[in-house]
Amino acid sequence: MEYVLKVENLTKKFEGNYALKDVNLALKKGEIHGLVGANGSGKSTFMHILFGSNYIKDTGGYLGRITIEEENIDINSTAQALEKGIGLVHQEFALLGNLDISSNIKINRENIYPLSEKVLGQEFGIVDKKKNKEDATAVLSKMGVNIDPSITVNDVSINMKQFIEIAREIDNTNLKILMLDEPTASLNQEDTKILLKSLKAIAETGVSVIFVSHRLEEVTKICDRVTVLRDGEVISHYSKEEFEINKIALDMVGIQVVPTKRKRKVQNRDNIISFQDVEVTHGNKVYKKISLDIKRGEVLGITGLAGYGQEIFGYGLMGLYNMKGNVFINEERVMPGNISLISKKGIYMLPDERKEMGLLLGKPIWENMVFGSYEQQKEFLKHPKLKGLSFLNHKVINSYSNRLVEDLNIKVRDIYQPVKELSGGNQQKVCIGRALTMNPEVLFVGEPTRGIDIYSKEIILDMLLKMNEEKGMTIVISSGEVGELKRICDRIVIMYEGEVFDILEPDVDDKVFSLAISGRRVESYEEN
Amino acid sequence: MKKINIGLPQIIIIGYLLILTISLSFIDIPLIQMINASLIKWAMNGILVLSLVPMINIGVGRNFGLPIGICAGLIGMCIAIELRLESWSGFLVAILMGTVVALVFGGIYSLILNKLKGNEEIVGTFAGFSFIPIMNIFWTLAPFTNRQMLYPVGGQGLRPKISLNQYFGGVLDNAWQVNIGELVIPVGLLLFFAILCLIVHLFFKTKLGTIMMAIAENEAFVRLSGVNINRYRTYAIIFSTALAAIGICVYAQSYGFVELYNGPFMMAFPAVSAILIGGATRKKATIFHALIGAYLYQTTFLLSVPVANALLIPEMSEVIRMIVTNSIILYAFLYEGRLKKNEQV
Repeated sequence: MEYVLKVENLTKKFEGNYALKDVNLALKKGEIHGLVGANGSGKSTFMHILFGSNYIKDTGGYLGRITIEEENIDINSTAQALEKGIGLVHQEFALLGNLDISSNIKINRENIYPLSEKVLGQEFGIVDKKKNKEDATAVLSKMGVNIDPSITVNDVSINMKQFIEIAREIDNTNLKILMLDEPTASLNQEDTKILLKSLKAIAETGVSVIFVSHRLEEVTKICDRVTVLRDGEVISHYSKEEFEINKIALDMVGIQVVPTKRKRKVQNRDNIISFQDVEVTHGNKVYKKISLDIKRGEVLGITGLAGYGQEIFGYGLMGLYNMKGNVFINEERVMPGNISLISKKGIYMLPDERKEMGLLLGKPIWENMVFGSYEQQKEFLKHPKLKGLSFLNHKVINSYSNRLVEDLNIKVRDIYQPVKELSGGNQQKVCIGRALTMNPEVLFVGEPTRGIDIYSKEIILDMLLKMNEEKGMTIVISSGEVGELKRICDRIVIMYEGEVFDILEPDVDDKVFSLAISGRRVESYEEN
Repeated sequence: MKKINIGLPQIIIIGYLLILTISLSFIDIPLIQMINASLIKWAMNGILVLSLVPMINIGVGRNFGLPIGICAGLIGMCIAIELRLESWSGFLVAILMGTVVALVFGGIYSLILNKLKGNEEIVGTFAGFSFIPIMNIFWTLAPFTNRQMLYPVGGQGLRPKISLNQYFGGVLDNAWQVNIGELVIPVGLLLFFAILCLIVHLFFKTKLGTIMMAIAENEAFVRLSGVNINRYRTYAIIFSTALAAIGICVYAQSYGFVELYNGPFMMAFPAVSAILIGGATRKKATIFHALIGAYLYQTTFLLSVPVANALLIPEMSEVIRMIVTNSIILYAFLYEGRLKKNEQV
């Protein structure tokens, strides 16, 4: 069989970290190829390289060979990718909401009255709207959708927007490879069925499809072959005969059996924070009816696949996402998002986006460690009575920061070094130091070990545990690293499609975890 | 700690200054006289430049709405003149009243800026511009009675230019002047300027100040630390507005007149241009930037007037002034645009 696309040894580095490492993939003509992997496994990077996205070039380009129909090419720009017949349907919609459907579908491929084209040239030709609409109707009905193409995109449902996105790519007669990033994430069951059916139809016309999804049922249902990525490397290839959801799930998450490091304490404690039927919105994502109790003094892990809402509790409470509903801290009702009040109640968060929100990159280490703690730690001020107008007591702060740097084994020149000069691991240790200074009752931590070397990971996990044991701090960790969570947590919450899917004990079998993460329960596993 | 940031604008302006100084020797103007004048100009405009520092350092950006603070200072001075206060008492009352009015104006101004985060500079420009007509109505209707500030004919409404000769004109300029040969150092004026600089400098060493600087660097981070960002922004905006009010009082006593109506219209641009020449960026400005910038900018124009008058057509100096002022601001925007693009990964 003929290969449309061959990718050999594709490698991409972001600031020294491998996003993709020696990835090989061959795509046959007319096949649907599933690409699966956990959060940060490199699926999106892979597609963006093929689509010639700007940021790939801006961060130093890629290494490796890409061959399209026997022709070795170097993809530099999106225009070039489109010309070679590569189309990408983004996870976030890229539609012009104020234009009608047909204009969105025919954008940059508008039909032009032939006479006007001759007189005015292609760029200034008059657009034949009627023909555009006919084309749009044709391509939509090919996908099994019937809708009037003169409706503006803002007025159609999210499901329909997804179809319009795909229709726009299919309308390109030159299309050879269609890449879809989580196309079913925003669709309901009915529409998912229609979409999957139309994808099959598209593939039968000879277009090859790269299908990215977390939903393994869909992947195994429509794909001819599946490639599993983990941490930027290809872990396994499966073809249709070999499909087995459990195996794929295990490959994706890659849990290794690690001896538990922590003795769990007795449960049945009172709730320190309780979320009751809250609704969280962020961008076009809505998480509804979410409830979770956080017990005093526990280490709680929250995990799940990317985009399923592991971070919503901390982010919602701290007002980064819009959270509505009943939240109780120490049985007292609070307004989520009122950060001043919530921090006064002793809640602090170290967000996932360390560089964007967790650190003052240009400021020295000492300031990052003590900033914002001046209220609690009066000795940091020279004249506490002057409140805001007091100078900082640099003598106390310096000795305190030096001690922390030593305790946490942070590799720095001195405490005056700007944080941006530190490595990722050391930056995270500074964050942990900061959390120690703030000394909250409840600490939310997002992805504490992301992008950090193995040695530093252990130190950071140790520090978290130490804070929990010595100070009785309640720690809530949201992370994709199930293996780590299993080692240090008392309970692990599994999020699936924006819901609390299950709460598991960390000593439960690995397979149960992998299944729960991909939205399946033990019963169905046992049935298999 | 302090790094002198010499970029393209600084090089151009210093080069221009050198050319002017050299060409000065071809015409009959003694250099020492120019130095005397430059010291006055420096402090006279310096406080207006200094007033930009708090707002820049909290990340609100360069205060193109400077006329708002200036109007507060003008009201302060009008009150002092109305009370017929002379010399120091007039000047101090003007500053005091101006500051009080600035607190109110600054508070209102901060409400607007806090609602429109991210576009503060353009919003500030238009807030400043639209504030002036409102004040124009005030100047014509305000119930002042001192005949020396009213229109000579009709006796109603303030006149556009009120002379300060009888009141507190030159009160700082002439205080404690030290003569070294022909060189005259206005110690009183420079001292006043220095004290304000010191206050601003020390302010940014306090807890309030450090939090403000952190907000400029990373607002999300500071918010997560439980800080009410808008409150701090309000403080900084009020601080800037009050400094601008004091700045115009100092400016007016040097200039000898209080200029009402459209007087403050374009005053923000030279100040912004000056601090940019000093090396300030959108989010970081030090006293040092304000001092250097104000001196370089003002001296350049001081020198360019006689030189241009002697060597070129007389209007040329004003044309050059406009070109330099506005192109420095444009350059700063372009430069920041490039930085931003490089930051996006």
